[in-house]
Amino acid sequence: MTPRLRDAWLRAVCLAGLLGVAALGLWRTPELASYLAPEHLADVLIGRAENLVVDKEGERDARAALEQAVTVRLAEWRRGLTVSAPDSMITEASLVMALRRAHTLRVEAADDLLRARETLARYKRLRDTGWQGLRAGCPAVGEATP
Amino acid sequence: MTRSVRLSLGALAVVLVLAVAGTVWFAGAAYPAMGLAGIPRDGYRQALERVARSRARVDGRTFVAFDSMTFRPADRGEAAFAWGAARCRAADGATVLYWVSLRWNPGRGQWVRGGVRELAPPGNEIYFGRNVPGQILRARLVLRELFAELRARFREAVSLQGSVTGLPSLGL
Repeated sequence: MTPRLRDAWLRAVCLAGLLGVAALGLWRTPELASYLAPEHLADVLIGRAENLVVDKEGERDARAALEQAVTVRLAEWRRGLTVSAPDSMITEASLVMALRRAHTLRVEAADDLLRARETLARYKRLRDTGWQGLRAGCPAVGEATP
Repeated sequence: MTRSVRLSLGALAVVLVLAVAGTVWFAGAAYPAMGLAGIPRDGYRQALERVARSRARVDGRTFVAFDSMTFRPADRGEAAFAWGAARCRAADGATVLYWVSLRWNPGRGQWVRGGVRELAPPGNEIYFGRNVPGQILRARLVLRELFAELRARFREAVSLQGSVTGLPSLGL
């Protein structure tokens, strides 16, 4: 193979690679995918949103259990059932603080779950309307009025 | 560098790589399925209880009951999830809660552990204040928790091999 031919081959391979990457990237944009592969788009977006809802449901319950665990520890501390080791971080003050933190985490997890469910509902609405809201040139959606 | 030093370093590197690979395989593939073979998809209660009892026994606690339990089939396909908070009793009478989560693996046709952990143990980050403990102690506590979890998994695997038949041999 002559050097010139080898260069031409290399250029062609690099160009094909670049075009491939660009095509894959474009294929994954909602604007094109909603035209070219609407069912695949539904599988990807709705599937991900469904998995997220399951994750967030589990997280919400885990946070609730954490709050319950700290509540139980605090109650047992106050009853004198638990004795802290000398170098332990557990004191009544740290337990009260931990309970507040656990409560905040649980509320945050409930919010996250709500957002995940809203995302899933939005994707399902978009699918039912034929992905009109994702396509280029769709009318801008205004801010929701309270 | 002499030849014997090079050989020793090479052997040490091989041992380290094998140890890390073995640990990853054990923690990621072997342990999650241990002791759960044969439990059907709708037997999630049995699976959750078996996992909670097994971990509680290894930690020297007694399983009491589940405070909460959820079965959540996936919206599509055969996958499913189950989770719950297990109440256990320590030797000194204190109550300890464990979080247990499982998922149904349709490929393997069995439940596998998603995670088992004690809720709010001493040294947990939930007790950390803004400046207490310091960064070094925080790192030590996190590492200690990580290694304690790994050690508990190994002990549980050994205990399960002794009590349940038909498990893959780990050579432990």
